[in-house]
Amino acid sequence: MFSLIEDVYLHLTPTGAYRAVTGRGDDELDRLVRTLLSRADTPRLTIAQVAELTGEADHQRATGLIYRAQEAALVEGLDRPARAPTEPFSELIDRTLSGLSDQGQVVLAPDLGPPLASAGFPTDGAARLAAMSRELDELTSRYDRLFDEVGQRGGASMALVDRLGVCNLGWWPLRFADRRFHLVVGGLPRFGQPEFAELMWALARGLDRGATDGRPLQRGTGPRRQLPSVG
Amino acid sequence: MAPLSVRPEPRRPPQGPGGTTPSDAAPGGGPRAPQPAAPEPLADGPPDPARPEQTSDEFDPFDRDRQRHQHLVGTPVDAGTGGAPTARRPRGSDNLDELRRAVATGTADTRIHLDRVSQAADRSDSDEVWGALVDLFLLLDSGSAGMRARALFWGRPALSPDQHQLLADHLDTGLRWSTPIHPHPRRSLHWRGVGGRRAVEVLAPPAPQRPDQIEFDPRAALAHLLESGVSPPKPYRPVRTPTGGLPAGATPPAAVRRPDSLADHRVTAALRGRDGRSVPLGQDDRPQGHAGPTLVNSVIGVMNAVSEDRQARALVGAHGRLQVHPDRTVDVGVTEVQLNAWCEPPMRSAELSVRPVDGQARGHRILSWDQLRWDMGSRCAAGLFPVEFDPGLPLVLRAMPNLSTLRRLPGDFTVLGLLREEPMMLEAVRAEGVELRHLASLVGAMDALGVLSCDPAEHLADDTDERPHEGPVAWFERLRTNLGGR
Repeated sequence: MFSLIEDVYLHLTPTGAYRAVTGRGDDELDRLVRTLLSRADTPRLTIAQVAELTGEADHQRATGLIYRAQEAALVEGLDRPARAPTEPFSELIDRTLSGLSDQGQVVLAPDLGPPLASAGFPTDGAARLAAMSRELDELTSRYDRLFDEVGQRGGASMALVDRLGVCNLGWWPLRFADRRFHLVVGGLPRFGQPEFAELMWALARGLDRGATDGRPLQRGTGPRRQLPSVG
Repeated sequence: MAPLSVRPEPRRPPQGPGGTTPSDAAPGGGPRAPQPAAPEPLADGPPDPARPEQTSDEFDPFDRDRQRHQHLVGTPVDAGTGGAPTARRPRGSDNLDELRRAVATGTADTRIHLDRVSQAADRSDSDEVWGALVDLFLLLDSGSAGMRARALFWGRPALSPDQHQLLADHLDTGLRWSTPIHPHPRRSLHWRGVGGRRAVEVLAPPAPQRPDQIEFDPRAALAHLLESGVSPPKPYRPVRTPTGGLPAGATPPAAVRRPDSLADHRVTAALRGRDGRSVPLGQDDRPQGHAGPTLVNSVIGVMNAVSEDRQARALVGAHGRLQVHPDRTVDVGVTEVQLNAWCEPPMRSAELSVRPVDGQARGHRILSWDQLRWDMGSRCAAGLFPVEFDPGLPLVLRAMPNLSTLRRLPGDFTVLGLLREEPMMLEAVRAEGVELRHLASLVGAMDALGVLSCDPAEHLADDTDERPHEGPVAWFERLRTNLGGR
């Protein structure tokens, strides 16, 4: 038997946000985290609210689903309600972007066009990495069936790895309702940090409000890295 | 004119211990590498000519003299450890980034985790220590409590009191992915970002009623029978009650009747494949208790005082000291042999003193309070039962000890398995082939841990184990039991 704890607001953890924007699955947990990411605030957990979030009329089944998400560290409880970031997008990028990599090297690029924001990479390098991410996207789409056959269904991220198989430079496609982004990270990614969930929430909400205006944002220069030429 | 041959300048071989090189020790003639400049003598004088210097290529694992020499002279002693080898940190890779990448693979290799914590502590990098410890507590399994304690011991100076308290609370079982962690471990590679609190809890299912407490309704039973059909009969299994008997009116088959005499105990033990020869039959084989409190009672008293005022205290005796911290850890500053001698009854109270301390770890081993209570309870028993123990009352287990984190004792799984099922009399437990001295040790440990009672109503009252609870007794078995009782 499951029981809701009173006066708790349901919040998406960074792991939940990662699942919401990178997962290709469509099970109940996927739907729950996407629903939470699309909301403007954190819902207060009541019987009616849980039924609305999960789409389950049976209270025990609905609460059990929240419990499963909680045990998988996809959601957490907050004492106070939280709202999606409303600060200017450039300030949010300044605060969060470089924290997504242990080397501070990150590029955020839309599906088309120049990079939206970058940190730690030189400007031209960021643009070429963004272009490369689109080619990698086409590559993974072309071999989608092969990935299914070898049991790698749902994985579209790619990386240059070291001898341990750990990421040196990685590309992650991010899927929102009707748009896609690419996240390029140099070094070890830090997707477990609250900044990641905050940025994803802002992107999911900000896309509706046109917060980015399609203007590229550049932050810092960081250590220069020799990049392969494209084309 | 002879052709000019250009010989490459010989590379200096790697330095071996004591400033020797492999070519120095190579037998035979031939060109030798240039001698290194003035080999540095060891701290205790020139090398012994009678003992040839070894190189790393000629390491002899049986050369104890050399190993002792290296240990005593060639390695620094960490401050505050008293030179105890258990407290020395490993020295593996010096590249912290390499270690972080190895941890990022999700490895459970304790050497890598401990090395990362050690190097982060050496650099006094609080964020890195905090992240490394969180990764270690997340990735190592529940049986690695000792490793967690050691890593926490190393990282303690770099942690805040809240951080240390959080990890000390999870010393026994480690962290779970969904455990809320504050402050955020930004250098952790495996933390999933849970910082809030739980939103949903699981309610414990209602305790199943005993068959003799279930109100029997023959009409409802027959209706259920008609709807669901008869399930295949199960082998008869008598339902035990806390008194060890059967429900009123039920006649057990002779084959499962409890043995009444010690001779039957031996037969039962032999039939079950256990050695019953150690169960003596003489009249002097009666459980005997201590004449007074033992050392573990004093330790529990100190723990109670520490938990009340949060002031760390040290219990000092003739054999050493136990430093009790408010974070529910104990620095054990005595060896195993000393601890055995210290626990041996009778307790000499005059030699004991309790004094407040600053809370800094100085001991060789870090144990949790529960681990120390269990350990000392068994050591202090010495074949005797606790002073208040009444062998005429049943043994009632209030909560199941977590055996994965406690020291193994002879017969622990057997006895705890029996007591988890139901309260039992001491003689009934002995019938399972457990020796009296082992039973006394277990009872002492359970009593010190606070999980033992004599009231059958408290059976597993404090048990928080998340194992799936056994469902209620099968419906058909209840029907048979109740029909048999009428």
